Amino acid sequence: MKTGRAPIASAAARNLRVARGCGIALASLLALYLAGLLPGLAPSSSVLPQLCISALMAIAVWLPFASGQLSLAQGGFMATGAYLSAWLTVQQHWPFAAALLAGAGATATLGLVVSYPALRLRGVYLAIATLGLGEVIRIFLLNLDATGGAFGFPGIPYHTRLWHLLLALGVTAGLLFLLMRGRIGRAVWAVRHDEIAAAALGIETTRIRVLTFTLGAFVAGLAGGLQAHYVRFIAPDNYGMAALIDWLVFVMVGGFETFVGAVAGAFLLGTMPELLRSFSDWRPLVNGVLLVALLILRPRGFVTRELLGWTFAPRSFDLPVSDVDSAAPPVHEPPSREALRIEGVSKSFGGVTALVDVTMSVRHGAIHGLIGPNGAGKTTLFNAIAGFASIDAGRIVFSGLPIQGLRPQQIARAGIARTFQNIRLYRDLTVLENVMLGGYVRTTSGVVRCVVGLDRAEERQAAGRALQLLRGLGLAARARDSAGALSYGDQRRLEIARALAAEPELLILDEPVAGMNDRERTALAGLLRSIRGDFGKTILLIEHDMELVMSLCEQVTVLNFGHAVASGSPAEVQAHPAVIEAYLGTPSAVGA
Amino acid sequence: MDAFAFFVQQLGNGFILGSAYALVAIGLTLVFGVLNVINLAQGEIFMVGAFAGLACFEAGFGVTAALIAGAGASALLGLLIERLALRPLPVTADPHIGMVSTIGAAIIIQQLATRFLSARQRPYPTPALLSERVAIGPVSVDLLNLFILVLAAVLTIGLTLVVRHTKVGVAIRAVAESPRIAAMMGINSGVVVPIVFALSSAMAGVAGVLVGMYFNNIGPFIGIPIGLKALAAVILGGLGSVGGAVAASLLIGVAEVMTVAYISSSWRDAVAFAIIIGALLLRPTGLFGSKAAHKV
Repeated sequence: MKTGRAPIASAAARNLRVARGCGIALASLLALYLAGLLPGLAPSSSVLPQLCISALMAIAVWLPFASGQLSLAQGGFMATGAYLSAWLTVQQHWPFAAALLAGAGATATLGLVVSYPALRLRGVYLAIATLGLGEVIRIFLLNLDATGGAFGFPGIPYHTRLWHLLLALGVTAGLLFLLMRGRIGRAVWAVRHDEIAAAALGIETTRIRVLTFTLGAFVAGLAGGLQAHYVRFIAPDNYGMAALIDWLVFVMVGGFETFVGAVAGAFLLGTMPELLRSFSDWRPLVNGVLLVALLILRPRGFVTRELLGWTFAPRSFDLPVSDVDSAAPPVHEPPSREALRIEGVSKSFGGVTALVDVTMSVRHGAIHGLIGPNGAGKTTLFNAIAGFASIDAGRIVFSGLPIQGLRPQQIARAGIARTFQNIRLYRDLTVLENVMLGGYVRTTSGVVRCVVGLDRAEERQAAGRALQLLRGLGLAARARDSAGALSYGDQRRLEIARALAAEPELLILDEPVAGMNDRERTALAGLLRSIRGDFGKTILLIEHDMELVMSLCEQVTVLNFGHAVASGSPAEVQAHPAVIEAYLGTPSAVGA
Repeated sequence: MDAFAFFVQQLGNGFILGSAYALVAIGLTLVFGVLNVINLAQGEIFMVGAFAGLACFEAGFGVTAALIAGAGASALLGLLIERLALRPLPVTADPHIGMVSTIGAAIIIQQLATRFLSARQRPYPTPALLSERVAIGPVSVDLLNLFILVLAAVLTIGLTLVVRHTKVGVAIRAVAESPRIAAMMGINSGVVVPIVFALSSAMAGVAGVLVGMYFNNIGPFIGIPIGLKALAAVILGGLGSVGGAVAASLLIGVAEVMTVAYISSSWRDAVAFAIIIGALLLRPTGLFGSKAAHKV
């Protein structure tokens, strides 16, 4: 293993160096060209302004995509901003800046309104519905006589100077950098890569999707207003499929992990037609070939987070002052206090009953096992507790609060953290970033604090706490590795670390040792005991490994066909006739 | 012509347009089924089929030869796209990447078509045999219209039978369900996927020849609007559902023709898309789509 790893790592490092070298070389060449310093290749005066507009539109496509929403309405949004601001300056004689902001603001409002119904749609369905919206906007403008319909809207005053465009692009990029480097950036990534895990971590997935969609519409509206007052004549067909495909290609080829990729794609591919002017006939063909080739060679696009060396974690940490502080010494509650009470919970899916009148109680500070044959309803009960499944009847009470019917995010906030049967880590994020995501509900920096840079202190503390936790779980050495590179057992531990980062009172673990070998299993059992002992948590776990359950848990509840058939200490449960029946069948069944 | 006859005539036109969309849409939905990729070059595959048919007509062959040539050329192109633009992508790539790669393929095909096939619109013949008119009740139609409807229906039903009842069909459905489990059962998705591409593309190629004869005019960019409508139909019908794609294609075809007849031709595409937006908001995975279930 060890001998094999070193050459692979160095090959990856070499590839990264080569890619960075190419990137720097390309960027410098581009800068020289745009500055007119390359002999014999002076760009025409319209090149840089057009590139800025393209880059803004690539950002407008990238923003919703960052949270997993491919919106193809960006052409329509750009048209909205362009037409509205042009109408304001031409026919209402507004000053340019006011018209520009009004256009972008109105477009953002439209985006906001559209983003709510769009929440219902996923993947290609969203893409097509938004494509339809963009087309409807375009066709509406084609039929709108007040702005010239299909003949276009002439006579727009020339207001947009190069510095306006550079300023707009610079400010947009700067704000996005501040917004996306920390807590919000992690949440956006989380929503895009696994919405279910994100909800379990307490991330308001709706708010993140609406935020990125609306921001995307704003940037598109802004780009539209700037473009209208630069080209001075606009027509609905400027905002059709061809333009949309260009922006999409910029994002995909440039790299969709960060907004830098979108900008880089726009500048690199946008310049190419200029350089290829003498072969202008072949340009679209070359573009098509280039697109397919680049996707195959670099499927994440050219500029990746790795290439930039960006992470969602701060460079410096504030480690918690004393271990006692963060490790919260076990509060000695009266042992009878209930952490979780489940009362008469029933749930059926169509005609299949998964849970029938289940009642159970988890004592504070206990390790409580939930066992039962496959299909007994264990995971359904977990999903009901964590807010992922509704229940038909009954109550779930956590620390005295009824939590049935709450959303997963609210339950996470209330202090329940979970792991999943099939590990749901963010594989491409580092171990540290995963744990910091776990701390989402214990941090507060919102959009405004991030954008003005007031999130730094909290970020450093959050990273420090995460590192502390990783040390406690023996994963600190892997903090900078990507989660997907960990062994199976380490991934399970990392998922527990992520859950602990939310500082929950109750930890619910779905088959924590499934697929582990003996050594990993023993280590995990020790870990769970210390989590209960050192951190003072209550643990509820589903497990099939009887040996582990019987040695680890103080209390065990057995589910069979949706009924809670027995509850008590491991010894009591093992002797219970209903349990023996559930696992071994009845004597008569054996006889028959 | 009275109002009712006019309506029936329009309804018929809508069905013809819709059945052409359906032939293109079925391919989209099948490919999505096995590969989870929306093939945005499907419109271009259709266009190449139309040109192959035209070449046959110009060489003096008849309708049958033109249809076979269209199907063959398109199938070949589909195989090429699968081999060059999709298969080399790593399996771990974002699902949107495949779609964007087919956009690249579409651009390449359009460009090669403008360069080597025809840069302008080209007239397309309707064979004399199919130009005769027949009367059905109050409406008289070209034989061609009936031919299109019947052929589209036969191909659709034939394909459905293949998918439902043959060994290849079982393999296709298995890969669509889960490529991993299919592989464990000894089904090679490296063979099934090209087969699906070839079948899907051949249907689009036939549609190309039929639409060429119907509108008597083709060009290198005719694939774009047809591809878009077929895509809309697939989404409306629910991805992966052949029946849904056909029903939605007919619905969109009729809606489009009715908009032109009763409102204005400038709103025709808006109406189709408005239907899709509305339908998707009511049923977020299409009219016949199944809800994806997660095991959390």
